[in-house]
Amino acid sequence: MTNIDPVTKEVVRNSLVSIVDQMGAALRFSAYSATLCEGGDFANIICTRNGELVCQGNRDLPSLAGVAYLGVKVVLEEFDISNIRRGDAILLNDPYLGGTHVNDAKMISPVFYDDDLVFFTANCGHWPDMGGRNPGSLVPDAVEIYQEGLRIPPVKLYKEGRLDKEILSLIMANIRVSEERSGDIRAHFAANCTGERRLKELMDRYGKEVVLACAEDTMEYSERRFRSEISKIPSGSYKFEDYLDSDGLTDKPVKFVVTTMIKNDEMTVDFTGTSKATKGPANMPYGGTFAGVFVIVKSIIGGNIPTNEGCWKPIKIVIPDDCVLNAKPPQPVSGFAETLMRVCDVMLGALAKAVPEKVCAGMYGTVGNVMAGGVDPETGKDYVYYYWLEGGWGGRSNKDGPTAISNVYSSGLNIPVEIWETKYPWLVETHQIRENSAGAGKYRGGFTTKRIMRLIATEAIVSIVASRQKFPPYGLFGGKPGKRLQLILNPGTPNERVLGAKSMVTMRNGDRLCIGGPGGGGYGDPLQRDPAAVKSDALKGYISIENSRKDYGVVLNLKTLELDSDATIELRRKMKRALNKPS
Amino acid sequence: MLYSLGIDVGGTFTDVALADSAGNLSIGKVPTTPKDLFVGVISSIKSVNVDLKDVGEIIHGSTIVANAIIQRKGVKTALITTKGFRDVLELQRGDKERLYDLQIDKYPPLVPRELRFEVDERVNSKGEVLRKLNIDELEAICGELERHSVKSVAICFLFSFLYPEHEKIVRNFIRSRMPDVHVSISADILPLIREYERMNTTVSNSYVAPLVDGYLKKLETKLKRLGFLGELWIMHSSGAVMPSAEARLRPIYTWKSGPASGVVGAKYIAEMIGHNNIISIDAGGTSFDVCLVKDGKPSTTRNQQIQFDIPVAVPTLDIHCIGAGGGSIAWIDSGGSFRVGPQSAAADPGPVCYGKEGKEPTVTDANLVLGYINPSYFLGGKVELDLHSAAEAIKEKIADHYGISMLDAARGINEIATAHMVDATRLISTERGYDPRDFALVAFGGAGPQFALRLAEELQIETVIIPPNPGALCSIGALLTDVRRDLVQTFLSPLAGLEVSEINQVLSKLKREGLEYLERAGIDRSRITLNCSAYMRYCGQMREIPTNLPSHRLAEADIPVLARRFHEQHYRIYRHSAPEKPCEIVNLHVSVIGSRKKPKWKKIEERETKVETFPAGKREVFFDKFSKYVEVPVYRRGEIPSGTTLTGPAIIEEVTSTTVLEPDKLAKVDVFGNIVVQM
Repeated sequence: MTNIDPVTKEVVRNSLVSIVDQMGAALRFSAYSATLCEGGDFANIICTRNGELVCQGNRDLPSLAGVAYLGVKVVLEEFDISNIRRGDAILLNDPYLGGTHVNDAKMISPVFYDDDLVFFTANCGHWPDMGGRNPGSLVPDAVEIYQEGLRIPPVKLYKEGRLDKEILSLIMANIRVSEERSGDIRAHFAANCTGERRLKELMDRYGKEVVLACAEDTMEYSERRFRSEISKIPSGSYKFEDYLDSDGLTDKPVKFVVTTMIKNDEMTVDFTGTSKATKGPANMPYGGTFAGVFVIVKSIIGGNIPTNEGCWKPIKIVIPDDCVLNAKPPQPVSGFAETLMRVCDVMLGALAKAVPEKVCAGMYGTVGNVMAGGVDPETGKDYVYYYWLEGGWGGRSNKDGPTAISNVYSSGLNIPVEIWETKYPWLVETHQIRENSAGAGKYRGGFTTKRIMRLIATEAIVSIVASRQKFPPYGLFGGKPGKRLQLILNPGTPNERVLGAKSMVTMRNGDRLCIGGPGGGGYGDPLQRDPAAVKSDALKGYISIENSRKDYGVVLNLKTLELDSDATIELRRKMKRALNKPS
Repeated sequence: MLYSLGIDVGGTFTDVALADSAGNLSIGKVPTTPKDLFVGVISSIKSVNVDLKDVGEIIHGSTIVANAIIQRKGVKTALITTKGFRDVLELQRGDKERLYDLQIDKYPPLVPRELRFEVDERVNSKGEVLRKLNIDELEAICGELERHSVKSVAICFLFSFLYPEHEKIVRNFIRSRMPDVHVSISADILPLIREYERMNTTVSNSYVAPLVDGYLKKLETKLKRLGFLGELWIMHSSGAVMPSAEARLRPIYTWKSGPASGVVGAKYIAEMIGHNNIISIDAGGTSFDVCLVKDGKPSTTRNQQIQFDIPVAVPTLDIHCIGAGGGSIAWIDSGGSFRVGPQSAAADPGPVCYGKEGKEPTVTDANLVLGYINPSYFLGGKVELDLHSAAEAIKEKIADHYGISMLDAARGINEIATAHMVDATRLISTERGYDPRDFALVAFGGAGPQFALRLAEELQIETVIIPPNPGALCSIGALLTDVRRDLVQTFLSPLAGLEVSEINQVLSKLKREGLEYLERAGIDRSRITLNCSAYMRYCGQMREIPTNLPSHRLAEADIPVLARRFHEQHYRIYRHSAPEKPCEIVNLHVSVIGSRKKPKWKKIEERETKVETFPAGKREVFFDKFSKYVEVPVYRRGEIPSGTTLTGPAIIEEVTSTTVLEPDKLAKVDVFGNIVVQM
């Protein structure tokens, strides 16, 4: 390898990340889908010609970066490299080929320099609909992928810069709201072209060999840092388990077990003991499992280490062949995002035993996806919307969990209510903090959103894929679990009905759906929480006076909310005694 | 004689520029007094020795708004909003400042939950009232406001940009009930779709309004007492001014005024010598601000945040800011990578060479070692820089780690900082569809001229302009501003089937408001220009882009022209468009600009002098091109006659900055005292 000075390395590494950020800007601002544009549900990457990840952008969805990367690997396996030309772009969404679910579409383009294939630029974005049985393509009771929508193996959608209209029309004929998607496709392509252009400029400036050597160097650098950080975790074997409410078809919980073994500078993440593949759509392809493991490990050992191929060299993932984390065709995968949450949860829970100061207690733990589709009475056209929850994270070793923040593997934004109502025939009645949702603890969890939405069209088909309705986000070190998911049709009316976390319902004009997200788990004994912090939470209405007494042993004056210190000490003493009493 | 006075209160220094009607300029620089800005402002006026009786106008910019918000030092503020939505302010948009970080926190909302009140009312996306405002709830809310001693109130209802009446009723109620409390409504501050952005902007306005009001009132009184009888103008973020009375009502419009006036100064100076297209770079102690000006118009944006997810969506010059300046610290991260910034040693403790408490090597230290800065002529010699300590720090903290020479480490610091600046400049040019080669580079700020030629080389820019007094351009720029107001109205309509009369109706309402505003500000009709634009997108798309509208009443025939402009604009920005697809209007914008009389720019006398005969001195400076130190001439900028051409390598020094003239480059000093380099 060419010997490169530290300055050039730093300059080129920064430029590479900046290039990916510019790809992201091109995708975000010209896309049509709310998920891409307002939600930021996408990722861009650069890979070497051998498919090694060079970098992702600063704002890219962590889980999708891993998925885009596996997409490049697939293209390398499926395509004869000599058959890839300048200006080509390969589209795929096949979940079993390094993917997640059909909605995550990937586009991969080669970057040539002096007639040599040098890099790939790639991106992955969530399309709100991919066809299939339900609007939104998340089918809570699917038994095979064919119900979930169109599965696209790697196909050259752009050939030497020209869009293949035949392939496009085949796709468009199979998905809902297809007009939006043709705009999104142009945005995906524009992003890759931006990356290609800038990479060429960079190679013009520093020379191809130097840029490649710097890419190589940054991978080695990340590997070195990952190894050094892993070796700081006490060696040992750390196990944790958690559950998903159901697979969507039966009431049987799906079990997740992880054993994380740290040995010197390597980590083995073993999911042996996790449930077998399910009949319903709780399955997740390897791509998702890989992304989840990586997101948690990187969050714990070093968020500022550049993301690239080097990061996963010291990590080994073991998954049984028949496993909910290793979906195979044609197993349904609509609920993968919930399964991915649980992978993150067990990873965090296991590592909490090794590095308690670096984790948080259970996060809100569900994407809370609500997909609705129907006809907009204003325009007479079909629409599909895709809602997700932001929520509370678990408490940390020295502070509360944050309230209403996107989940750990996401970087998404919520969609403004005013945009929502302009675009869809729905009225949002409330968009607020769900009070009392956080788990109590010395450091409590964060609170999650509660939203009530009313349909103002004749009919809509609503699919819900969520979790944490039975198994709440866990607390750590004496902290209490967060509140469970709340999902109610027509709350406060005679027609009130609790819906299952994975369910489908046809709503009529005026029907209301209430989704109250689970709160983050608490960290540490709630009886040790600073009474002033409890009082402040009560004053703000985050928790009720009743909860401050019941969960924290803090006595507040019902009228003035003033703290009664003596009564608090007394109550806490009593509660501690009750706890210590052998039952 | 009547003077104009520009005062820019920055984080570290308060800059002042005084111009007389003949175009003579005096510059002053005094330390900012953060505890009471007022003290620094008055001493800055004293520093230019002017009798305020002779000053016709003062143009003032400050960081009071941004600081109050960032430090959460505004007044106790309450929010009143639609039932069911009081937490929008705290839920924010839900995104994260950093990925892969389990210890992350959000920035707290400006109004805590106990001061966020809901009223039963609802308007839908068509502007129709679904639930009438329940006035009976207002009395109880006022009781709570009193109980909490609230000083300021923000009102933001859903879809108030379509139907502002409910907000107005509540505002009037509170005003009559609590006349001492400031009230802002979102339909006035920012009548645009996206409730969180609108709500937070309105809340931000209320949060700082009483502070700004108090400050400006005090300033007005004090200035009057000192004999000032002229006009007081306040800089706002879109690079223009507003009357002081207006700034007291809508202070949030001023939040980024300092950097904006720098761009105005750069633009004005470049235009005088025939450059309409410029990239302005302002490198100071902590940050590098870059902005693109096309056809004499700086790009503006509403997508700015004062902190992460704390948006302030008022029109602001699209100045991209990164943490790269003279004070940026060089360091080695835990994996052994060589980094520069974004942390800055700022003014305190400052770079190592300042000889204060600074222990970390900075860009200024590296530039001192490389010979770019004169240790004995920093701020005109007011501060003696410690070259030895700077070199020691670079050696210990960087060079020894890599086993390289101190000199190579210093070069590295400079090069990495330059690369950050190049990336930032690309972001606002190439990545928005502009070719930097079509622009001239105007460099200012204390550190800007040290990097200008290197940047131009990397970006293949042909012309570099370094205005006189580059370290004080923000206060000079303030003298060169116009009065401006931006009016906006959400107007959702597909282009196909657009009723021209409807759009004309909205536009003429906005124009009328704007014209009345300028009239109140005392601007003569003949000095007013109007710019109209429609923010457009493809039907189904989420983000809109500005497309120019003709300023006359629209006719049917204008619609296809508008569509074509939109497709072109979309292609320019994103490199793709779909002319066959339908597009729509989202917002209508009208800017009214009243041009103010500007001080004349005095030409300096032209003399054909062989300047090589009179450099102020010589020193050893390192240039990459030679890979070694070479002895080069050092010029004092004030002594160089106009028309002079200098040949690089050379150094040109002045009180507020130093220009590095790279080898083989020719710098011409023009009649206005600008250094112009054709690369």
